[in-house]
Amino acid sequence: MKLIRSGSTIIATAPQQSGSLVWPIGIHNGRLLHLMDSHLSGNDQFDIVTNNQDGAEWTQIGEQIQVASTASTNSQLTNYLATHISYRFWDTGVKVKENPACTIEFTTKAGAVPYGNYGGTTLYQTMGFVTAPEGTIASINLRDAGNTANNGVSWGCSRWSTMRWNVDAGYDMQVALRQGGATVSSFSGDYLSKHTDPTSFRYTFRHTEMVHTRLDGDFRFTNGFITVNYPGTDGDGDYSAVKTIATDSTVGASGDLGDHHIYVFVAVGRKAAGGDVQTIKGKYTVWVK
Amino acid sequence: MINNKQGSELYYTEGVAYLRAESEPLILNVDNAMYLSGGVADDATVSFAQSASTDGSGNQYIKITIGASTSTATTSIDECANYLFWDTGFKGYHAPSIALDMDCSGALESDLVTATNSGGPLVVFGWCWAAAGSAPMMYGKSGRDSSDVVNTGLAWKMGNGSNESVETDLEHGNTNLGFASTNANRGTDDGCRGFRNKIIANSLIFDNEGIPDVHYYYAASLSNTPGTDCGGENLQEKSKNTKDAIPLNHKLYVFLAAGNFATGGDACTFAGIFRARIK
Repeated sequence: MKLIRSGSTIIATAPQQSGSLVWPIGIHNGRLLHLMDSHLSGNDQFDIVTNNQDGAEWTQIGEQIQVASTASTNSQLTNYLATHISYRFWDTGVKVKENPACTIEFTTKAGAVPYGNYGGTTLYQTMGFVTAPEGTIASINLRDAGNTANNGVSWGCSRWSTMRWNVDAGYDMQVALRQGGATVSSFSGDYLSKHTDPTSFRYTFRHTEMVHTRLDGDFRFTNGFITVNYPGTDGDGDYSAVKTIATDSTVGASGDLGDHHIYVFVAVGRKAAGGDVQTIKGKYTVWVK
Repeated sequence: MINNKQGSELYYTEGVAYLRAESEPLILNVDNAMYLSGGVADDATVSFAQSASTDGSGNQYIKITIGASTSTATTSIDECANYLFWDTGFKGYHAPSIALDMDCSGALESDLVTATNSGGPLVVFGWCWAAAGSAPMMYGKSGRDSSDVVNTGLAWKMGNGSNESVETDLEHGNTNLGFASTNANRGTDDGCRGFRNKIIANSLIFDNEGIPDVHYYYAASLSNTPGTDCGGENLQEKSKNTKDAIPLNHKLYVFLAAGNFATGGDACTFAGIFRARIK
């Protein structure tokens, strides 16, 4: 785990060190996600893993994580959080009752690999937060209560954002901010890439959630939003957008739920069966504090 | 390639690597504040002190004594009677994630403002970006003036003269505050009058033709009050979408301020535990 910056220097008496302003620009506080610290989990519904070339291939490339997702068959597709093809979980160690502010950022350098099979079978890349008991990272099964449950057997509550890549001939993308067993839907308008020469697929997504212990002891995700910076048609990179979620997501009021940990996850899936392998590569940074 | 079909037969690395933050939320107190700034608009006398009261975990309250405003009151967050600033050490290029929260749910009854105070005492908890090396001056700032101060705060007004309403507004600069009577009320019973307020915000780095360009982008707030039945379910959520540009070398300060929304009324005190989580 790479420690980018010590948070203990808040209320600093000395100037902070300035960072080199290279990609991703600025000093990124928080924690870089690294595959070595994660737990890999598959889907218990899809049968696409028939040989060593199917499924999802996760690769650590420097500070970036690349994941290649195979096309699915047999009409299998991703329409819920629970029906993604492959998941990676990280345990933040932070408990629900600590009321953390949760942020995960994904930044691309080259962006979505602009394969031509956009549209109907596009790649879904989902990231977010789920609550589950301490020490159970290997047991989290987001489908253990079905596809549409907002709380499962092995997990408590989730908030997630899905990035839908290569949605059209311009290799644009869209974002949805959802919770629990909601369908993968309600996407934004197109966040445009610069797909003509000189191209730019540099995107930044920062998804933030607030965990709150209500006065009556109920734990819940409240205000959630994801801010996005995208290239735009001229490639200037000064385009931005925000998606919000209006619904609170209840973790529950039982005291032991407050001891549940906040887990971060990244998942990939496909909008529909068919198409070809698609790949997404970028850097994930997490603040759960 | 890893076969990742079966959830129970998964590749797993050694042990659990917690991503846990390396520091707990910072409890703000008067002693570690860097600067006390008198406002120039609201003429109330406001002072900040460390309260002897603590919560069950030993966290101390900041007690704010708010005098009555006589001729000028606070209509926007730049017009408070007095400000306390903390230097976070962060600069624009850090593009931090900001979270602030206030909890007065365990405060002594005497620390909470009475309903009948017609002055509408208010407290503002927020942050501002300002040039390093100079103390922020809030008055008259639009909140979007990147050459000087970019500020945002959650203001809460306590008591409306008839009931113990807590009304909030998330605003910046010299934009007029607005408090709606439809906001969540707190209860009237002893022991259930405390409440919890939070703000969370993203800053974001724009790739502006390859030139770093930092924006405080979006903020959301939450106010949780007991409600008239003391049930504790009342939640009021607000947001602010501004995209204010932040100069790369501007410093991030957290501030706590107080005043009155109207002239008249009585002097009072308010006490809460104030936390900052900035990374």
